[in-house]
Amino acid sequence: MKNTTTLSFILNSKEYESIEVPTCVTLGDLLREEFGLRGTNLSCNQGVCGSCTVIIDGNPIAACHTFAFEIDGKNIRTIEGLECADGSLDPVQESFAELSAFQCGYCTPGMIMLSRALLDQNPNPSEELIKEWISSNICRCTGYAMIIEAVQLAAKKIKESEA
Amino acid sequence: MYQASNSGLISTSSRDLNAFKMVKPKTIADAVSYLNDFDSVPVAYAGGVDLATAYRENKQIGTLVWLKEIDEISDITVSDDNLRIGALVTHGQGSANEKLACVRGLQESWGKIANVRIRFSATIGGNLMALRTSYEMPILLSALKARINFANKDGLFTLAADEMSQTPRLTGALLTSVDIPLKGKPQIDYERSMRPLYTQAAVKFQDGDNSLIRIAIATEHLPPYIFEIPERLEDFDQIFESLPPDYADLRLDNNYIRYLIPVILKRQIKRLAKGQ
Repeated sequence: MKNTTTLSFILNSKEYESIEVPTCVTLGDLLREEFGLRGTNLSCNQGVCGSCTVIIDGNPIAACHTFAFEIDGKNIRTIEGLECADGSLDPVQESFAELSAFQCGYCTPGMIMLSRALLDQNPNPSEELIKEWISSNICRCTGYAMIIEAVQLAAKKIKESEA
Repeated sequence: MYQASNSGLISTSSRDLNAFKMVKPKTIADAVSYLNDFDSVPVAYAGGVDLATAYRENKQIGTLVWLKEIDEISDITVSDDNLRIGALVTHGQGSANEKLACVRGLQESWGKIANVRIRFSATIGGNLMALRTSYEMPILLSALKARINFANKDGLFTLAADEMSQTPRLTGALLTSVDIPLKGKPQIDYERSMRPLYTQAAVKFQDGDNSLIRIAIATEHLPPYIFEIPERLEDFDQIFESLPPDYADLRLDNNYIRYLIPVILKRQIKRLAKGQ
């Protein structure tokens, strides 16, 4: 029995088939080291801080403590995959930028992915729900207020674009 | 490019770790068989919340037994007198499942555990098998008189939720499901306003015209301590009689725990009476 596994998955809308990966590789390392997707920031490496949050089949997951073999057959989005084909930003990215909802910026990709998953599942989140979700990830700079406002603005932008 | 394992930095890259074998059993019997092949150093894996971190901290994994393809431990079912929750049910799935309405307050109580992101991956089985005092399912389930079902090479066996931390029988065993008895129409209230220092679950059981409150208290470092009182208890000092004087940890002394129990219990009893 080999200590590798073969995976097929969709990463940022692109299909990958029969990718051989050592069993011990985490998703965070796979994304950063094999696919060059350095926007997935690793920090605590134990699933606590959420800076490495990516979206797997619509759900926010910490890539640092998810083994890569878990993504077989799944759809993964990273911060790089949020950008539109024409290079324009996703409404969540735009909102974070407009409201300067970051300071050092290290947690920002994870916060944006978490927020995107929230808005995909709940297009009209209450402030309470936003707080509940956002408290999954740690930001040591902003005090969260601007992040909450950015999520509210993003919800508004998405609603307007759909109308 | 990759940091060396002797670099002195905290987080090691996957490149520094040894790859392991992986098996994907589809039945309980196959999983038990893999888990009892001790020469292969088997480790069970479901939600994955703890294992990647433990692996970086030198936990040995010879063969990873991936449980997620075992359909028979993935469901929630309700019968007249029992709620059964499969081991692979995540906190997110469980707390959102309307079948849990048969135990009033359980959805809300379960939904308080962990954060939203973790709830998408962490399973009830993993929470229990981690055997960590800081994990909260044992508190809820001890208060609910839950039974934990296992399979091992000798067959099936069951433990009370509050026995799990004291049993040596879990090696080679697969946690398959959790049974919550519905006798007495249990209602639960879980107060974690002082988490992580202290949490308290209170479950009201109806017994004819009388009702009983079963309470599980726990700190981050102590396993649940359980006691029962009549709902209309007037003298709260009585509930302290059975609490061992050494039930305390570095952050909460025994006297403070004795102070906390009735403070929290009074509001829990009010909420339970209102059916909140």
